[in-house]
Parts: sequence; C-alpha cells; structure tokens
Amino acid sequence: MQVKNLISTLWRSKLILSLVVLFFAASLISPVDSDGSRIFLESGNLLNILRQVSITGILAVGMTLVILTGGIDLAVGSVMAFGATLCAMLLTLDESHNGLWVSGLGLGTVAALLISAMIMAALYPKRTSIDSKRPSLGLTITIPSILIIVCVSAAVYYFFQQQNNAPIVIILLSVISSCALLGGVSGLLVSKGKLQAFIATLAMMVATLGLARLMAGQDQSVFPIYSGINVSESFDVLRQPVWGIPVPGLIFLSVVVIFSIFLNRLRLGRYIYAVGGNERAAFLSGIPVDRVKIWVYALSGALSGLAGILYCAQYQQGKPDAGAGMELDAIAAVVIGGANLMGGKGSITGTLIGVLIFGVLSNILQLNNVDSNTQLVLKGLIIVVAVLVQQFDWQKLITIFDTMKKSKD
Amino acid sequence: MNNQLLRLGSITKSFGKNEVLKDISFCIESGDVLAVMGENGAGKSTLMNIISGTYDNYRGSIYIDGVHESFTNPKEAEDVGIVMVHQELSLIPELSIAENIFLGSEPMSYGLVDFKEMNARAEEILCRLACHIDVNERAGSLQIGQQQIVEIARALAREAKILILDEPTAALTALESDELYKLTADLSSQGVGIMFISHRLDELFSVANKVIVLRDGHLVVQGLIKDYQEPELIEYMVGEEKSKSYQRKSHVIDKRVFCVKNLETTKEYGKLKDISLDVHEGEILGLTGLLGSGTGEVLKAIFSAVPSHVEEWSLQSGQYDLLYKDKPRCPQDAISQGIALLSDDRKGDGLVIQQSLGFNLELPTLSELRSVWLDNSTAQSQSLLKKFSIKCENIDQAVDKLSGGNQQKVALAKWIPLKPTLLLLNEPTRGVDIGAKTEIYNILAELSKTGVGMIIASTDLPEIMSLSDRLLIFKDGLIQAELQPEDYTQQAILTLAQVESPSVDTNNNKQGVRH
Repeated sequence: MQVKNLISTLWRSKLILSLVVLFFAASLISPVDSDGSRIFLESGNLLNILRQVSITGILAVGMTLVILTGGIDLAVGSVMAFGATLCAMLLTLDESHNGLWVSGLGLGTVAALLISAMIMAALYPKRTSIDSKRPSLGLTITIPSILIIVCVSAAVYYFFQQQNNAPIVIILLSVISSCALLGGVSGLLVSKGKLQAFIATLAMMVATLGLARLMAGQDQSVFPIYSGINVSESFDVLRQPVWGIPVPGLIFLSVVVIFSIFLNRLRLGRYIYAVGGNERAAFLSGIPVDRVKIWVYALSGALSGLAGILYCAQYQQGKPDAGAGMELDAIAAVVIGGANLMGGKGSITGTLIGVLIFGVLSNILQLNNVDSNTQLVLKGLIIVVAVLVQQFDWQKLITIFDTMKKSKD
Repeated sequence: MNNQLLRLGSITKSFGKNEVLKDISFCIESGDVLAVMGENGAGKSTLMNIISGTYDNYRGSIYIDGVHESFTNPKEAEDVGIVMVHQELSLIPELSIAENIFLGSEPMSYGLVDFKEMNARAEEILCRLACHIDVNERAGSLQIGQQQIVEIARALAREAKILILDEPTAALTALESDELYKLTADLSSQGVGIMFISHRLDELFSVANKVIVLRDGHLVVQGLIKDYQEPELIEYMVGEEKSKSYQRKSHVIDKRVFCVKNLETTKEYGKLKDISLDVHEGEILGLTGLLGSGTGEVLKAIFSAVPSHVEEWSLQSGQYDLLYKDKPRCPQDAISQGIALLSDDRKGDGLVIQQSLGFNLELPTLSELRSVWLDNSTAQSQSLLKKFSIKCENIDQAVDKLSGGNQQKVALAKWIPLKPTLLLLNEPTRGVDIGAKTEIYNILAELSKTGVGMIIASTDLPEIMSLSDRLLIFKDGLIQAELQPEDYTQQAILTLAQVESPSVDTNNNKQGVRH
C-alpha cells in the first residue's frame, strides 16, 4: 500500500521530480573551484541560470498559450529579434533621424490603437447582466473603445512631440505593442483566414525577419547601444540585479506568475483550454473561438516583444538575426513541460519546469566544458526522454505491483 | 449440428480492484445470431474486447473450433476468424472502397498491389452482401449505411467465422437497418456466427436466435431468444424498479415562443427549403425522417451553427420578456437569445471530453459572467450533478471516464443554468442505455413543465413518438407532413418519410413500440 502511494505521488509530481533529479545529478558532476565548493551550487551560478533562461522562458510562456489552443507560433524568434532591433533603434535615435522617428511613432501608434481595440472587444461581456434587459451591444462597445483609442494615441503623440528623447516607458510600450500587432496578424490569418497555424506563423517568421533587416538597413546588421553614451542610463536597469536577482529573471518569474493566474482564474484562460480541447464544442457553447485565437497569438507576440527588449538590454544590441532557432527552444520547453501539441493540455508551471530543465542542463554541460555540438545532441535526447517519461503508464506499474503482492499473499 | 465455433470458459476480468466480468461462459454454434444485451457499463464491450483480442489480461479460456486460443492482439484474433465491426466506423475516406476492404491484407503480385485482383475480389464480396456499389468510389462519399456494409465486407475479406457487430444500427435509419437485418440472416445461413450488440430490443428479437444478458459483469440470461418476452429481458438488464417506462404528459401552453418562416440552407448544409415551424411554451416538437432528411440540420441552422437564410424570425424570450426579431449570427448570439443545442455527437462537438465535469458544466455559463474573473461556481455544478443524477467520483473527474449515458446528461445539464427558452435536441439518446434514456426523458418532461419549448430531432421512431406533442416528418430537406399524437404509427411515419418506396416490409410490422 505504501509503495503504491509513493508511486502515485511521484507520478503526480513527476515533472518536478525530474527537475530535482537533474539538479542533484548536476551538483554531483559539477566541477569544484579552488576553495572546494561546487561551482554549480554557488548562488551566482544559479542566478545566472535564471538569467540565461529568462528570454527563452518568456517566449515559452507565449508559446504555451498558443499550443494550448492547438496551434503553434513559429514566429516568436523572429518577432523577438524584430523587437530587439526596433528597441535599439528607438533608443539610439537622435535629431538627425527625424524620418525614422516618424515611422516609429506611426507604427507604435497604430499598434497601440489596434491592441486597445482588441482589448476592448475581448474584455467586454456579451450580455450586460442576466437580469436586466439587453442593451444595444454596438454602442456600449464602440464608445469606450473610441475614447480609449483617442486617449492612448493622444498620449503617445504628445510624448513623441514634446520630448526629444522619448521616455523609455513609451519606447518599451511601442516595441511590445508592435510585436503584439505582428502576433495579432498571425492570429488573424489562423482564425479568420483559416490557415494552418504552422503555415501562417512560418510565413510570419520569414516576413518578420525580412522586416527587421529592412528596418535596420543594409549596412547595419547590428545596432549597438551604449548606456550613458547613446542611451539613457535608465535602460540599463534591465540588465542589473535587483535585491541580488537579475532583472530579466525577475521579469520572467513575474510573467510566469501573471500568466498562470491568467490561465487558471481568468475567463479567457478557460476559453483557451476549451478551444484547444475541442474547438467545435467550444464554438457550440458560445465561445468566441476566433477572438480567443487572435488573442493568444497577440499575447505571444507581445511576450516576444518583451523578450526582445530584454535581449537588447542584455546583449547591448539589436540584431535582426538574433532569434534564429529560439522558437524551437521554446517549443521544446513547452513540450517537456507536459503540453500536448494537439492542444487542450498543458500548464505554465509545466513550461517553467521545462525551461528550467533545459537551463540546468545547458549550464552543467557548459561548466564541464562539454563541446557545444555534443550539448545539442544531449538536448535532443532530453526532449525525447522527458516526453517518454510522461507517457509512461505508471498506473500500470501500480497494477503490476498489486498483482505481485496478491500472488505473494 | 454440433459445430461449436466459439466457446468461452469462465472468463473473469478485473480492472485494478473491481471485477467487471465474473465467470462468463457461453458458446456460439455455426449460423447462430447471438443477441448481446446489457446496459452501458454492464461489461459488454469488455467482453467483446476480450474475444476480439484487445485485452489479453484475463482469466478463463477461449476455444475456437475446439482449440484453446489466447490472443495478445486483435490481429491474432482476426487470423483465426474473429472480426469485430466497431460502433465508430473506421473507413479511410480518401481511399477507394476496395482499398478499404483489403487494407492491411492487399493482394500482391511481384511485390506490388494487384489492383485488378483486389477490385475483383471486393466486387465479389459486396455481391455476396447484395450491395452493388462501384468499388473504385471513395469511401468518404458513401452513406453511413453503405459504410457499415463496407465494414462488414472488410470483415468477410478476412474470412470471418465470427462477426461481432457493436451497435451496427445506431446510426442507421429504419430502412437501412432492415437491409442490415437481411444481411445478418444471409450471413448466418452461410454458417457465420454473429454476435449482435444493440440497445434496440425490437431489432434483436427480429434478427437473433439466441440471447445473453449481462448485468454488472454477471451473465444473467442465456438461452433461445424466443423463450423470452421484451419486458422480461428489460427487467433482467436494468433490475426491477428501473424498468418502468416513460409516459408522456403534455405541458403545452398556448403561447408561441418561437416561430421561423422559410428557413433555407445550401446543399452543403442539408439543402433545407421552405422550413416554417413554430413552438409553444412547454411544447415538444418532434422532427423525424430518414438519415440525411435534414432534421439535424434544421436544429443547427436555428442555432446558427451553419449558415442559413430565414424570411421571418421571432423568439419570445420568457426570462427577459424580450422579443427577438433577428436571426442570430452565430451560436454565441443564439445562446444570448436563449437558445441551447444538445449536439448529436457528444464526443465530437458536445463536450470537451478530456476536461473535467466541472469545466464542461460551466462552459456555456462563462460568457454570461459579468466579471472577467472566474467565480467559483462549483456549488451550481454540484446541484446540477444531483439534479441530473450524474454518476461520477467527483466534480474534477474527466468526462471521458464517464459512461455514455452520464456524458449525455452532462451535455444536457450544462445548458440548464442559462435557463434556455428554446432547447434544441439532436438525437438526445443516441448510444445511451435504457436506464439513462428513461432518466433523460423524465428530465425533458420536467423541463417542459417549466415552460421550455423544445425541438427534438431523432431517427429513433419509438422515442420520437413517445416524446413529441407534435411531429414533423422530413424528407430531402422538406417538411412532408405534420402529425398529431393520435396519428402516430410507425407505418404512417415511415411511409411519409420515404414516399417512393411503399414496401415498408414485414420487419417493420414486427417492431413494437419499445418500453
């Protein structure tokens, strides 16, 4: 009986268990530094892991949402690189670049416009109240959304007009909203255009890469930023530690917390599971399937934009090619985290663990100076093993245990 | 003739702790048609899965032609001639009929598939089944009844000695079912042993010669079917007190809640034309016809799940005392007008099957919440569980772990908190056992007492006759006739539903009303 209990408890927490096992294995094989302590377990190294995984991790959170609806977003890497490039450009602009100012402003404003319209549309409850008469739906949506859109655009315009160096917050917001816009377009193609997610986002991935390169111009494949010289110091906060913890890591963890609350406690979160679990049933239960899809792709885009900003701060540059292969890392982390690519199954906590498993693995391999190509092979192996472990039928093991016991009695 | 095709010796099977089959022994002789009866969960499918080799972890023994066999997978069972035709048809729509029939056992010559030989043999087998369809046609283009025949042909191509038919008529119309009964008789006269699983007692009496009844994993009846009466068998299946049948009581109030004029859809969506109907408060309007007559499509069109055009629409929502004059644009819109649809395919589009009971019960209500946050409505779901007597471990249990009847109750119960004005039910008891059926009927009666208007589409004639206050007969997307309860006879309905074939033959006369 106790054996059985133990096994079923392990089964429930097998994900966290595999992380723990990996962690212990890593501490065992960790190299030892001069004063005899294990490098892997030093707080500096552990925080470093958190910092290293934060960019991929944020992409993976967005990817989780998309995969939960049964889709996939191949564009996250490109969009992240686009965001990083845009961010670097907006940060380093001076008066001689007036034309670019205007285009950046235009892009940001349009994006903000569309995003707020979508927020309004999706947040609005369909019927005002169960016990009052139904008001005319059109007006109640339109008036507040127009008001908000006007206010937002006015604010954006005002800041860009007034200040030579636009406040960083505005720059960051317009980066995030531009990326959300790109994601939203993918969502539109998938939901209204009835394209397969793989194809729509593949197109978006290629096109965004091109867009970022066009924006950067031919001679500049990299936009370097130097805090204190061509960028205000405040942007530098994004790569400093706060209370000893690197800011990217903090941002990643808060994204994880916010989005697990979002998935579990928000109506839209429930809709995401329903759409992924059975799209037709969701549609027939009155769920706005198309809107849910546009939302998840837009959120994935917005999170990619956030990751792009962190990339820009981390590496002190914006680079159109920075995102190559990152979408696959994100997908791998989500899959290790127990999500089903068919949709309807998975969680943010799972993805967090998937991301950490990946991070711990790369870290310990790096510490041991394993050749980078061998690292790739081992990463491939870990994906397969992680998924196999999850598919393994532990319940069957329990039954076998039981029958063995019975035959003994 | 003592030619035992199959003999089971005290088969016992347990999943974990609970035994689902206890000491089952019976035998089938050449040419037997064995009716296998029992409620959902009585152990029928487990037993069939053991015989057809899907489960290998059981106690007891199976003898085929007197030889002891133990299968480890369905392929081995097929090799000695046991073939199961599953309830869910499994043809590959993009392949031709012949390719489907020989899938996995294609005749080869020089390492290539010999299509000539394959088509010839497929035609020969279909001929044996008195079915004349072009074997080069795509399987996806066939009617469901024809697909069933192709499935049986597939079994014959594997030289089946024992054929297991799992609810073969569940998706068939009365006419198609008749064809299948004839086929069964033909096959049994050719010496094939057939096990026929069905919830429809009338058909079992007309096709089978032997019967077994399972209840809670026990074999409670075994013998010749002619020695038993229908009510007796029902009692054996469900136990005593549950076998009381459903009696319709009309709760119609003379106040029109819903009216639609000249509903039309395109060919893709049922080719409906000139559909005008109205529903009164507390009324149950029945729609019936042959498969493909468009009854289900009418419901989907009213629910706006498929595109359609109407000339006039009016829905008097009792709860808000509002009159809607515009046809809704999408299901979401329809729901907010107070319409609900119980889909005919609960796994395909009724429930999010891998999610929990609570998740499914709350799904339609979510869009009615005022706040963006979820409030915990488990109390409401709990009361629904009780009201619908849904049997489950707890509210977090996944829906696909429930029996068909309980799943159907969940699919219906999820709409109740919305207090629908108009409830559309498409095949409300498809694949549901008799006990749960009666419970669903009682729930519907209860709802009609509270003034809900209902439209029920069903091809199950006894059901639709016992439920509806008024009956519309459909054929090819058109309303053929309207019948009042005093005119309900199976003969009349079938004649109206298939005007060009007056030979509603002897078999139908034998079919009594169930319950």
